[in-house]
Amino acid sequence: MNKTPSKLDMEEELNLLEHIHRVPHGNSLQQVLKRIEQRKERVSGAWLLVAASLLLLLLSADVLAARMLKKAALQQPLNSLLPQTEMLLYDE
Amino acid sequence: MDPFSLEELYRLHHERVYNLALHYVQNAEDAEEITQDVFVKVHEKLHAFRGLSEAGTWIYRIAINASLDHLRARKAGKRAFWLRVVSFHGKSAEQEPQNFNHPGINLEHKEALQGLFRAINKLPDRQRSALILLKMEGLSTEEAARIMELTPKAMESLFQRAKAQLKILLHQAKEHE
Repeated sequence: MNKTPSKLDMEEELNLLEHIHRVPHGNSLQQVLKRIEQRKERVSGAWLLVAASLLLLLLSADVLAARMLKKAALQQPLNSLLPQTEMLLYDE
Repeated sequence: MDPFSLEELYRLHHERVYNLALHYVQNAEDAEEITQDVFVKVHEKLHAFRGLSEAGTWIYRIAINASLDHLRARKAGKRAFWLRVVSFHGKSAEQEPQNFNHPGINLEHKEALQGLFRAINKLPDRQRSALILLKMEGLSTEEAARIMELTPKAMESLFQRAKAQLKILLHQAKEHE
């Protein structure tokens, strides 16, 4: 079967890909191992950061809760204590 | 030596991975970066691999994905850069020419292959992979099908679609010249 000119061009161009020769590659295993170590350090660093953030969050929540309790206690109207005082007076 | 140790897998496959990456990025520096990235990934996933498939096939798959990820990241970076340029100058700018530096190409074929690669780079990912595995890596349809997790028939059909699409792209490129 005869090929059309455009098909022939295309096949010829594709055949050029077969002229690409394999390139030798130098050993870079040491760099790979270094990158693995760096990644491990980054991961443990990230976990440390997460743990520290959580601890800070818990401490902040604790301080906030203590403040709120104190504020609530201070804001409690004095007259809410009165009935108890009155009761004490009646008892006497 | 443990056949699934990182050192042994690297020794057996690093050159193949490097050459495969070169076909995708056509740049020695990027291909080196991808090769290192592939073996970092191999190390991370080695416990899950346990020889369930052929190591070479598995590493080929990782290398294809790493190369495509690298190209996507490069494209996204380039897009972000040009968006900044466009917003600064208030008009669109032409795409930066790709840094074509494939050490496996002889000088006499360089110009022709640069044009061909320009068209190949516009192919959809799977079609480009089919062309690279079958035409540049010289794998059989069966081997390429195993790597791409397809049937040999589907692989052949993908290759034919890649060739048809490439023909259109080359035709368009010649019309623009």
